[in-house]
Amino acid sequence: MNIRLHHIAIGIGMISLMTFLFFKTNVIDSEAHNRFSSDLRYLKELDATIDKNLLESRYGLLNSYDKLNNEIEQVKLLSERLKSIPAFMDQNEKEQLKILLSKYKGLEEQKELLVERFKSRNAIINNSLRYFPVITSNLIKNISQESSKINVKEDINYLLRDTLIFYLLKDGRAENEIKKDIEKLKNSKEIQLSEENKTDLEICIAHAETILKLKPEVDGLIREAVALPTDIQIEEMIKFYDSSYNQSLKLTNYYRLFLYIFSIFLLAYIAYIIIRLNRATKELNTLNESLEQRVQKRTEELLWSNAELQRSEANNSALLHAIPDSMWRTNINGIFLDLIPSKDEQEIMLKDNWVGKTIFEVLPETVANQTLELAQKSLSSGEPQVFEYQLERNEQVYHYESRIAVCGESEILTIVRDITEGKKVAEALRENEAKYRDLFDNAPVAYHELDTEGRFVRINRTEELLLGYTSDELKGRHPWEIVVEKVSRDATKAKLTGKQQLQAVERTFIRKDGKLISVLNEDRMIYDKDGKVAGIRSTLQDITHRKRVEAEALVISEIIQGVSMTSNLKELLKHIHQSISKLLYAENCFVALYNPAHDILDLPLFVDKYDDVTPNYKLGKGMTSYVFRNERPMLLTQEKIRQLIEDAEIEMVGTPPAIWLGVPLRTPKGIIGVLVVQHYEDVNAYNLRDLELLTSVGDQIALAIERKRAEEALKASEERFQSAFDYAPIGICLTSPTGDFQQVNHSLCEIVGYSKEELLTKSFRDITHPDDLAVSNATFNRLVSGELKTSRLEKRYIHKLGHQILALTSLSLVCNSQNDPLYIIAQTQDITEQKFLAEQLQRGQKLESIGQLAAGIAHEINTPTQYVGDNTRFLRDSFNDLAKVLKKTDELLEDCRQNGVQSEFLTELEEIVKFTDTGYLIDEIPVAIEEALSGVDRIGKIVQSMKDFAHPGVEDKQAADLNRAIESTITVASNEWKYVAEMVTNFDPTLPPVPCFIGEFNQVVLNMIVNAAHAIADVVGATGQGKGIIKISTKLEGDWAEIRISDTGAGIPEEIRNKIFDPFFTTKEVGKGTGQGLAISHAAIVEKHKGTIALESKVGDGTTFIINLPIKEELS
Amino acid sequence: MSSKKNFLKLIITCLLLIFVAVITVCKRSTLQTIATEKEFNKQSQILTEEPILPLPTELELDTGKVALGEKLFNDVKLSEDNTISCASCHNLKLGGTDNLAFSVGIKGQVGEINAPTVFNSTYNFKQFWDGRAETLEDQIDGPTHSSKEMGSNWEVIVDKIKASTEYSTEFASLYQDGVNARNIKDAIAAFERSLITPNSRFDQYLKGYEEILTSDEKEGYRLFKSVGCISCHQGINVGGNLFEEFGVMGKYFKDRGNITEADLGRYNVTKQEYDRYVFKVPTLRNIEQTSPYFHDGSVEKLENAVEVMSKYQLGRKLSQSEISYIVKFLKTLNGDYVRYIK
Repeated sequence: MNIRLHHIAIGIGMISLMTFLFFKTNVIDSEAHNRFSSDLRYLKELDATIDKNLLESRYGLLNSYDKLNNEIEQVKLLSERLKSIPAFMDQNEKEQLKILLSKYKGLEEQKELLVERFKSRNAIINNSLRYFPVITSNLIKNISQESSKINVKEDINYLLRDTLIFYLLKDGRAENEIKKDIEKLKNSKEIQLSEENKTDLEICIAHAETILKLKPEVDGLIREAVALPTDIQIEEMIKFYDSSYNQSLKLTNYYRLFLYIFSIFLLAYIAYIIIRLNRATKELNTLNESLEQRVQKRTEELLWSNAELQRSEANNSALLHAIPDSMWRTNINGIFLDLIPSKDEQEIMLKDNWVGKTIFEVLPETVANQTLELAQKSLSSGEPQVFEYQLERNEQVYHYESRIAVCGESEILTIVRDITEGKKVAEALRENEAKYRDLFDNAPVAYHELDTEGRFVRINRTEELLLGYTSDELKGRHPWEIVVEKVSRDATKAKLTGKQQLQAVERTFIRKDGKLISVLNEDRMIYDKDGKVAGIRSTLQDITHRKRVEAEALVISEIIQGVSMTSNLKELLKHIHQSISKLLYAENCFVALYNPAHDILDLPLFVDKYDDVTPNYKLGKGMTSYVFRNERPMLLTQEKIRQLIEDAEIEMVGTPPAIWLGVPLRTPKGIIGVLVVQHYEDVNAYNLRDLELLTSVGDQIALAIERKRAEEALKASEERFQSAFDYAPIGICLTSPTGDFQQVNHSLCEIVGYSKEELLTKSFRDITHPDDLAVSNATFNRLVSGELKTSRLEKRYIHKLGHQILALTSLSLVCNSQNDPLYIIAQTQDITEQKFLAEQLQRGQKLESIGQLAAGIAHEINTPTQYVGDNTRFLRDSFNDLAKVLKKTDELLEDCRQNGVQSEFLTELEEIVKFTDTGYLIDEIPVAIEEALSGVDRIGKIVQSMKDFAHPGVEDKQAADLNRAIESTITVASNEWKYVAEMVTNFDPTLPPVPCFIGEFNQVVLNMIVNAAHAIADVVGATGQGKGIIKISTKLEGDWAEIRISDTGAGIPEEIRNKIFDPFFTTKEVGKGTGQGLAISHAAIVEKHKGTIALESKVGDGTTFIINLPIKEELS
Repeated sequence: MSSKKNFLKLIITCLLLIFVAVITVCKRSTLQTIATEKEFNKQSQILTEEPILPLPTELELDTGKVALGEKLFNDVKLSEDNTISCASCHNLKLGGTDNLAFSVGIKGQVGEINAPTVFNSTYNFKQFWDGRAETLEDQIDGPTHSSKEMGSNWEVIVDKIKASTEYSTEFASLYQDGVNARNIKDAIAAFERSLITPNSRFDQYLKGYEEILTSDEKEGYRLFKSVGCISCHQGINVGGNLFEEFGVMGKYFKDRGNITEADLGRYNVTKQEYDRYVFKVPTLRNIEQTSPYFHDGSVEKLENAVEVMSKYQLGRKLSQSEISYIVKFLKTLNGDYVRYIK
């Protein structure tokens, strides 16, 4: 009873232990795991896609924000879904994962906020960027038609340039320039712009300010959003999850191992029990034998002493009946003499029926024959004989053991025992052994045993399948013969001697067919019954697949990394190729990308053992095109290819491969191309698993390519700007604060004749004309020191060929955020030719005006000459008359002296005096003389004025009396004005001598007077009313001499005010002016004298030109 | 002897059990591949380069919920004094609005912000002018609880709805837990999801039927894109997918004067300075029917609305002819609303 309870307890214990182990090995719900794990990876992918789309929106590559919104929504859904963590993780891990998840959610919310702000700002800045250049160029065009505000125009140009530079540079360098430009424009807005242009200017400034404000904001938002460590957080989650998954997996594997070991232990225990049972049976047998002998003896005694027999028959038969065996006695011929059936077989062996019959009648013939045969043997040898036989009864097989002994001389005693039960036990044992064998062979874990020398003893069938060797083939060999790792030999020995701990290790085995497989090898020691090491028992778990999944994840992450690591598409593809090679055979691999513009497939990656690089081909009937069109991955063997060719689906291009694997490169927008790997020899190089693998990797590759392409597009646009710099029509260069060239463009090279490389080794000083070096250096140093931000100077350079070049150079300083000078941008324009032409023009104009004046001056001189002549003629005639009077007076005097006064003479004299009207002459002659003299004076004055005006070319500035100069010019030009206008002058006597090029100054004043006269003539001519007034005044205004020349002409209409200083602009009719006057005047006053020239004009009232000249000469 | 035999039997049974268990475990232990969910493919969109996408013409919704939602949408029980329903301010015959600058709630109270159209609101990325609700369901809490609109609360509404046997049976047939706030919102939102206006002439144009637009309207669309309207009014709902400041290129509110709390826009939600005057960009679908315009309902005519937008949002002057082209284009965005339950 106790024993039974004991066994039941052990049974229940074992069952519950097995159940526990079974559940432990089952905790990982692989479905939940796959879902969670793929969700995490998808989340990561989405995160990267959001970043990509953000960047695309930034550069206007994305049509609408819908996509971005959808992705953010999906991220939210996913992170919600990730809250249900697979059950196999323990509470602690779940908590940790939840913390990671909530951290990530925080980041994700932050990211969403940033994205929202980015979307708003990005929309605005993109609009402003599009509109700003348009409105700016319109404004410039409009302003050019208006007034003289060249400065404004220039400033707007600067603003445009600075703003675009600001937008293109990453570090916001031109910010201060823009602020300055805007400040300047805001100040100059007040002056003389039409209302329309003023509003345009305001809009223009508003857009510039918007760009200025939003560009760093948008960039900042993007940077912040992309820099948010969401990906790292996801990566951490993935890592954490994977590690705890692997841990659980490991743990599960341990439980599994325990389960196996426990099962084996159980088998061993069962075997032990069976052995014990066997022993018990043997003991029983011995007992039986001794009993038999006793029975035999007794029987003999019975036979031999009948009386005694009969007397104790009852006792004997009771005794005999107690024996579990049946017994009978037969004679030598097999006729039953007596029968004692065992208790169990009383019903079968009916004593009354059997006695008298032969054994042939009741036993099968073979058994009967054997019994008789053995009886003979026993008779001859005297030894009892034993044999076993079976009988089938009631469809059951019974086993019997028959012992035959000679009884007396002709009688045979047969003792038959039912050994069915014992047989069954033995049978069961055999079966168990077979099952154990089966378990060993068919266990799903590869399993082998090594002997103490580390040689294979045997391997199970799973391992046979795994390694491709049979157990016999490996027997006696060492594992390290078929393992790639070198450590195995020593490790095995170390393990056997107990020097090395047993650890699960990853090994790479070489299969019989040469393929490599990765396995997880776990060793256990085998001990013999004395506790000595008898060998090693190892399980091998095929982790090739897992390895591959890991490799796939690695490849995907490598591809994603590749996008940032590589600089162009080619490199990226090379990188991708290397990554793929880790997964599968990729000696022959190419990537075909569809180019919709030409309907061809480009091959930016082409690696092949046989075929040469094909740059591209038409989308035709090749296998690649087939995959591209069908948008389905294809694994093609030669047979399939043949079939497709037969079906006219494809045509063969290049060397026919043994196996061909092509997957479409899919992006959310569609297929962009095809990735192909092929093998020319090994038909089994790829399988469906590779196809699946490459398909999923293909999607990553497609995304990576798309990303790279977007990057390249960006780069190309940067390059375009670089080429705009390179091929700008004016020379542009960047120099360091020390003056060394850092970057020069093509135009600058052309201007100075040096190549780019030559210039980059030089400083601007090396090519500056020695005479201008001092001024250049001074300006440059003032820029670098920050005293000036921009400067313009006209200077000479020395061309490589030696001649000098006159150039206009604009310099501006670019500082970093700490306001340290970074470099100087210089724009250089070759004005040698321009200058030459301008000088020619000026000289021409001078000649022209002298020519024009000549006629007027001739007239001017003619008038006084005429009345000098007239008066002189009058004096001559008067003198003739007076001579007569004087002659007569002389005669009278003589006569009077001689003859006294004669009345007749007096009468004569009186007559002559009367005739000659002496009184009149006495009155008139002094007048005539005065007039003649004044005429001569006038001529003299004109000649002097001429001399003053035409001042022989003085090359240097000289101090001059402006009042006198103007006076002379008025005189010289008097013929031009005196018929139409009165001249009113108001000269400031305190005006000191002013340094100037007097010839040019006179020319300017002359131009002004002539223009004034013409302006008045137009009005007077039109109205016919009297004369106008030309007012010329000079005044000392501080350090400036101010000359105002005003007329009462029609005034200058608003819309042409800004043009009048332009060369060749004239309102006069053809022939009356070349349009050079005011342009040259402007050049002379502003450029040569550093003065200013401006005008005030009111339509209908007249125009005043105001010229200001500096009194002190500044040498700068 | 016989007990030993029994024990043997027990052991053999155990052994068989173990064997079965081991086999099962091992079968399960085979590592499965990480399923590469190709969720991208689900999103395969119409391959169009246009920044505006056409509305779908087919929807998959629960007809029972839509019908129930429609009933609730038109039911004045949702308001405190049983005078106002959702449809009062979102009249489906008036482009999903009430054509008032500010809507009138219970007891004749006038609201503070223009009622936006309920049509296509499912395509807005957030709800309300200030985007304070993430979903249509969340949005419903707003007007039902606002004292100036419906002035009620869920407790009261649920009681009123429960009182109607008709409602109770309908709810019971659709929802396991019968009438409650969540289910009421779910039904109304289901109905609102059915309020789409597909097949506008412009959508047909997008789908390739190019002749349907006149050359003036096409010119209008070109201008809409080139002058920059598209920067904000884009995507499937021609708006409704981003926030934007009102008056980026000019001080709209300073010029208009009399700034109210509603004018602060998203600032009221986030209290962030950068969200002052920021609003959800509204959809332009059916814009012809949803006058007056803007959150303050300050503009009656579409031409003037375009003018205000160009001045304050784009910072550019549009000529009258340009405006009239754009308006012609905007009128092509009128779609057809077809009741989901036929």
